[in-house]
Amino acid sequence: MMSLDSRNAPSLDLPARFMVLAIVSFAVAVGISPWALPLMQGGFNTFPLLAFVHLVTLGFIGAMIIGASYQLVPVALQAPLRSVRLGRASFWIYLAGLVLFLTGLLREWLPGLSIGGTLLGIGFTLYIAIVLGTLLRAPYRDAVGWHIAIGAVFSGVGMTYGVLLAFNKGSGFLGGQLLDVLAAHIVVMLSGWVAITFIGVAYRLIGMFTLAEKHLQPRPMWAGLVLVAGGTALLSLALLAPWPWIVAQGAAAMILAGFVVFAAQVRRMYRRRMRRTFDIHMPFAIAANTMMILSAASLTVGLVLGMTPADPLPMATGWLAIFGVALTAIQGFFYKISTFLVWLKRYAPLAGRQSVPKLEEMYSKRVALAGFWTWLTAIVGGWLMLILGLDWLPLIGLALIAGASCFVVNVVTIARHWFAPAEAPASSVVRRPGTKGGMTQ
Amino acid sequence: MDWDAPATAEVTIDVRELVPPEPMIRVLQALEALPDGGRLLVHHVRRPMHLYDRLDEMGYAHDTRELGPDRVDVLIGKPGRPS
Repeated sequence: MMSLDSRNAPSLDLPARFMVLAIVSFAVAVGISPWALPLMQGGFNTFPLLAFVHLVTLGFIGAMIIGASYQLVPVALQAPLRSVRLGRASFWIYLAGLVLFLTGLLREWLPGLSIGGTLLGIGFTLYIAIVLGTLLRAPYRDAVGWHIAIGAVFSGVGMTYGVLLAFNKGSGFLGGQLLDVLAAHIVVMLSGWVAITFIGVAYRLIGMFTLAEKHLQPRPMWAGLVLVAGGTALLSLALLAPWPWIVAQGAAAMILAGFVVFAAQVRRMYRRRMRRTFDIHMPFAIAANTMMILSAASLTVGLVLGMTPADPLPMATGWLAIFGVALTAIQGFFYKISTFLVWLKRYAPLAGRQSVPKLEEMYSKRVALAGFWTWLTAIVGGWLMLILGLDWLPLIGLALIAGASCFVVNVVTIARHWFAPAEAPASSVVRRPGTKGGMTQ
Repeated sequence: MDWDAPATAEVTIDVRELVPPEPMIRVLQALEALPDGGRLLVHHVRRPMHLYDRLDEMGYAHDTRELGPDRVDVLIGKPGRPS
C-alpha cells in the first residue's frame, strides 16, 4: 500500500473565469449566427468568416476546454495542478490574445493578427505546460490522462500552424502551401485537440456519473487513442508533404476507426451502468458521438472522392465537427462539470450540516431537453443546407438561437446558485438505505 | 496519521457506488455525526481532491492510501474536544 499526501484541488475561480469567457463568446456567436452562417457559402478563407469561426473555436470551445481541464485534470490525474498561478496568468494572456486576434480579423488589421496570435500561442503553451506538468506528478497515468495530455500537445501543434497562418496574412510567405497549412491546422485542432480531449473527458465523466467506470476496457481505449492520434498526425503530415494521396485517405480512415472504437466504449458504459436513471448529458453525448463518426466518415469519403475546397462537402464536414460535435458535447458536459463547480463553491461548505441540492436540481431538465432537440434540429438542418447549397442558413441561425437560449437560461439558473444567500436549499440530500452508501459501524 | 492507533470511535463508509457530489455529502454527514476524537474510514474509487479542501478548512487530519487504480481508503480524524 502506498500512502499519498493530499493537497487541495485548484481554486474554483481558475476554471470559472475561462467558463465565463466561453459562455459570453457562445452567446455572441450564436446571437450573430443568422448573419454569420451564410458566410459559409462564400469563400472559406474570408476575414469575416474566419472571425466568426475563431469566436466559436477560440472564444467558446478553446476557453471551455481549458477551463474544464483545469477543474477536471486534478480529478482525472489524481494530482494537484502544476501551477494555479500560471493558470491565472494564462487566462489574461489568452483573453488579450483573443480580443486582439478577433479585432485583427474583423478589421483586417495585421498587427492585431500577429500580436494576438502570438499571445494566444503563449496562452496555449502555458496550458500545455500545466497539463503535462500535472501529468508528471500523477501517481499513475491511465488512458484518460494520456488522452488529455496528447490532446494538449496537439493544441500546441495546431496553434503553431495557426500562428503561421496569422503571420502569412501580412507577408504571404506560405505561398502555394497556404491551403495545405490551413487544412492541417483544422485537422489537428478539431481531431487532435478537441476530439481527443473530448474522448478522454467523456470516459471519465460518463463513467463517474453513471457508475460505469469499471466497464471501460483499457485495450480498446488505448487502441482508439492510437488510431485517432496516429491518424491525425499522419493526415496533417500528408496534407503538407508530397506523399501519395492514399496516405491521407488511410489516415482519415484511422481517425474514423478510432471514433468507432470510442463509440463502442460509450455504448458499453451506458448499457452496463449501475445508475440506470436518465442523465441530461446522455442525449448530448450520444448526438455528439454520432456526428463525430459522421464527420470523420464525411472526411474519408471526401478524400477518396478527391473533393476540393470549392465543393460543399468540406464546409459541411467542418460544420458537423465544430457545431455538431464540439458545441453539442460541451453543452452536455457543461451540465456536469460547471454545475459541479458551482455546487462546490456554494454548497460544499454546507454539506453534512444541512440539506443541499443534487446537481440535477440546480437547473431545469425540461428546458435542457427542449434546447437539445432544437439544437439538434438546427445542426441537421444546417448540414442539409450546406450540402444542398440552399440559402436558408439565416433560419438555421434562428434555430440555433432558440436551442442555445434554453442552454443559456440553464447556465444563468446554475450561476445564480453561485451568488445565492446562505439559507437552506429547498431539496434534501438523497438517502438510499441499504445501499453501500449507508453507514456501518 | 497512524492508521492503527486506537480512537474513541471508528466508523466506516463505502461511497464507491455514489455519483458526485453524493460521496462528499455522505462523508461530511458522517463526520458531523462522529463523536469528537473519532475517526472515519472512507472506501472510495479515487482520491477525493475536492473533499480534501473541505477537510483542511475544517481542521480535520486525513491520510489516503492507494489500494489500486480504482480503490483508495481515506482515514479522517475528527479533532478531540479541548480539555
